[in-house]
Amino acid sequence: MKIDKNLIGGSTILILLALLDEKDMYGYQIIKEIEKRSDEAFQFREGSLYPVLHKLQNNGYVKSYMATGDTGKSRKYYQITKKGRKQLKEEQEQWNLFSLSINKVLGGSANAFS
Amino acid sequence: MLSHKESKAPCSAFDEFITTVLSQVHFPFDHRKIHDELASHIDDITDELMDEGVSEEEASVAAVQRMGNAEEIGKELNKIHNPVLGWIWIYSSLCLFITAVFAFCLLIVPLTSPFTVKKPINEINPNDILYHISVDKTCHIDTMVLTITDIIYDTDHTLHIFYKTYSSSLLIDSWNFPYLGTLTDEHKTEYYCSELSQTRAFIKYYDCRIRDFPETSTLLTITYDRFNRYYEFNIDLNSDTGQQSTAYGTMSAQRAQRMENSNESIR
Repeated sequence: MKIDKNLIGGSTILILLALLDEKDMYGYQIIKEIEKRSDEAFQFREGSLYPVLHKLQNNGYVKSYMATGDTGKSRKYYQITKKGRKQLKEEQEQWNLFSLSINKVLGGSANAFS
Repeated sequence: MLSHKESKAPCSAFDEFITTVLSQVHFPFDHRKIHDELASHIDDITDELMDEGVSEEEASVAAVQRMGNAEEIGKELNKIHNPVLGWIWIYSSLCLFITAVFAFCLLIVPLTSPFTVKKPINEINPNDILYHISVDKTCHIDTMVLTITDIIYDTDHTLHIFYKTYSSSLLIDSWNFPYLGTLTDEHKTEYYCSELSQTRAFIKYYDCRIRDFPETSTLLTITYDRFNRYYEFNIDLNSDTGQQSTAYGTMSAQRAQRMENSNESIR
């Protein structure tokens, strides 16, 4: 099953920051990683990743640098900043509250703490 | 990235995609970076599809399709690569650069002056010196520091007083010595001098010349008493070091009192 992209929309920043918190990545690599981890439930129009990444960079959450990876191709890597880590923590807390609340509404408190 | 484009030819879909995206981004200076990043991504998808056995031609078309709507992406990127902010950024960087160059040019004169400017004392021909006294008398007035370094009497019967001034504060020249002071000998005869100065690395070197100074004079007194600042140097012209008492500072209470009294007596 594929998930409607509007549902991912609000949490794109959370996903990107969480991935970049693990290691520096370039755009294509980020897409592959998201697909792999979500069992391909998350698939977006790959080009739409870049406006989001550039916005994160504008906000100072990530910075970018050119580097040649193991494939020998020069690529633009993104790296999370200190400010980005702070934002990630905030987004995670918000997400936890959000999913907890949704679960409460859907299935009562029993489900929420499972 | 052009080479990559050529290697994956024909890729009109690729060209169309990139051109459409960039046509929406109105800040030209970021075009190159956006082009390279998107091209690299499409290239990666194409490689991935070809690894799965898709023909090169089909792969390059499918790769562009996976990128999504070029116009939408371009519009989103344009919001972030704001032309106004972009131009402000470029303009302010340029201003900063010009300022840096300007500051460098301003600094280059004082920084190189020790190598290019001679101290006035070095302009004196050693053969013309009748006597030379090395003095080292310093006074501090506010942030300014004045040091008398040498006295030279030359064959032209001119007495040279060499001194230097500098500010001990980096920012403020709170006090400039408008002149060295009143110059007298042991008979209280007053002399006038002509000055020339050279600046080397923030230190100003002076040569204060008294023409027709008597060769037999034994004492030179320099008194400065103006604007509530006071100093007095007594230089013994018979000794090699000119050792004599020195006093300086702002006007002492006692002196001020004395002057007030004298004013009263005039009235």
